[in-house]
Amino acid sequence: MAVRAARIRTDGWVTGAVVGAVLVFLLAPVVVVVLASFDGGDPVAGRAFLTFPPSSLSLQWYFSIQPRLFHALWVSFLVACFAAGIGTVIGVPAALGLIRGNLPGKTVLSALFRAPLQIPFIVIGVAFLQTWYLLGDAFGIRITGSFLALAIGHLFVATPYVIGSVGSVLLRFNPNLEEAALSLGASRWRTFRRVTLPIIMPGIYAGALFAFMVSFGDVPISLFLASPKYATLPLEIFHSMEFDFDAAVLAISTLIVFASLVILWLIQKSVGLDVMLRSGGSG
Amino acid sequence: MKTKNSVSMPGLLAAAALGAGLALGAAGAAAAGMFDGQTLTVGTYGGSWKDRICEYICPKIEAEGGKVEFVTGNPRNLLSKLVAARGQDEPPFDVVEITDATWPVVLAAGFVEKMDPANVPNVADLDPNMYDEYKAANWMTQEGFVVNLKKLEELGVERPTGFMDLFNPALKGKIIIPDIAVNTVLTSIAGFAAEKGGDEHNIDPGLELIRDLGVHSFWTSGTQITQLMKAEDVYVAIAHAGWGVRLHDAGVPVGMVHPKVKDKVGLASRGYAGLVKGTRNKAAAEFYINELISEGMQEVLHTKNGIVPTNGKVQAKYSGQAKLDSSGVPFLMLAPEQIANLYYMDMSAFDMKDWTRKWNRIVAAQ
Repeated sequence: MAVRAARIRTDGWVTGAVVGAVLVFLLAPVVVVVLASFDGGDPVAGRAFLTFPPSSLSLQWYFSIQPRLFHALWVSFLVACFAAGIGTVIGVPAALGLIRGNLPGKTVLSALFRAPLQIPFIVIGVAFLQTWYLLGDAFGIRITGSFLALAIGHLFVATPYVIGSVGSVLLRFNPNLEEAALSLGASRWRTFRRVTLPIIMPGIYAGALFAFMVSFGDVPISLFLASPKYATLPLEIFHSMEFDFDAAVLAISTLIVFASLVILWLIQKSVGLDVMLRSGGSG
Repeated sequence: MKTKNSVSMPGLLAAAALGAGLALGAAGAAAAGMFDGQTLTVGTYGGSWKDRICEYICPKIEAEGGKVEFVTGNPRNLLSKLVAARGQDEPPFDVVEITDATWPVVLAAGFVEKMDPANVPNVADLDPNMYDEYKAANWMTQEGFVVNLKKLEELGVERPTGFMDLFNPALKGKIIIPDIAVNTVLTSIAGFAAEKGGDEHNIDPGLELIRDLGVHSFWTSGTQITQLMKAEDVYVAIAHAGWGVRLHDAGVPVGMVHPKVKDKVGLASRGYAGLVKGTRNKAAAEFYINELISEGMQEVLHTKNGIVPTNGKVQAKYSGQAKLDSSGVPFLMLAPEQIANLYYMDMSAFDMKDWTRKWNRIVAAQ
């Protein structure tokens, strides 16, 4: 008995250590960025390199964030919402069709839907840019440099995440639940709305979240599809860091971290994040 | 009784309205700018480079009724966009700022068109080898070794003077050099090669020396240089002098070494601005390029971004005034004879595919 208790204690320590190490690994870079953004040291040094730990605390870099970075943040947010929203609208029926449908060549179709993730994003960026130019030449539809041109490029890589995520939930789905609803007189649409959708909702949430994150953090696709009017935040940061360093990018990154935490906190308070992911938001 | 010459009230009002209309029309004509309604798009580098240029030039174009927008990216990104837009009615930008290494490709592919010299009068202030009918050099950097003077002193290492001095055992693993994706590496490859009888036309000996140098890493972004130098993870960085100035200003005890290459001292790299073929805003684009090489702009870029001005008047003004490191050695060589004595690599020898393939085979494979 004592041996078993000791083993449980040891296992607990090991588990705790592993979890702690993973947490440090995941959070350390974020902590460095957040703390360095509050550095109150010499502004000249702050334009040469990251100072960690900060020599003194100040909000100087927050006041030096250029308006173009806020504009880029807004563009990134809109593009990511588009990619996640439309990606979900496309991805859920696609996943249902792939898993449930009796389509010929389902394996090939499934591979095709995953294809965007197997092509380097930089190639996707060039390919879309060429496509937009060709579209302009062939049909006079000139969308190069527009919001739509950028957002569709992001949608292309975001949608497979929704398909994959919803698809994996559907694979574990017990069809008896739907049959029960149908045998009790529910219509197909009602069955989908009241039985299928709530069960696959965690997959939809997860897929949409992945789609949002992939789009929000993208550089290679935006590199070719962004325009002076629609430049995303990661792209602005990338160009700044390529030629310069400015601690203001740490400040805006920290604002994003805090905004994400606030949103998660609000979801937790209002709905309950764990409940939402477990039950698909149905409570 | 009304006299014959009397003027009725409606007549007076009509005359007043006509007068006011004429006056407003005249004022409107006076306010009309050269670039009314035009949006000039410029392909250039990001970060503070773009910001400083815009602070200086954008108000001037806006005063003429125009607007400037920037497409930022490194020269290879900009070249990719030009390639993608080949054959289109409208180019992706009106002006392209590009490095000397990328320029031959841009020219050969027909991506640029000739400027009207009358619209770019500031070229008169440039040395003749800094411009031609297609381009004007708007910056020059001096590439060499940014060295941590304090660390060299602690190690008892003499300040290097040439590429072979980097083979000091005390510096093994403490040198960072640019990756093949960074243009700065090109002159360094030529410089290393020159030590073994080669040059940009025969780079293999240079690549073999880089392979044997035992570097800390290859940098792809300037931020890596500043971060590693500040942390003292590296003591020598092959980079342009602007990075040395930036580190010096931030309190890192660095100095600049302009290495000997054959019978020259220091390595030059240039950036050009040119008109993109098919631009619909040619006058605004020429105005922009003229401003880029103006005294005022060149002075800002020299004092704030650490580039060597290409404008002769600014060179003369700052000759002898270059910022000094802690040992009293200037970061930049600004005297005309020094600028003339820099090693200017023959960029037509640079073949991106071939050099990258050789780099991957000789350097990266180790």
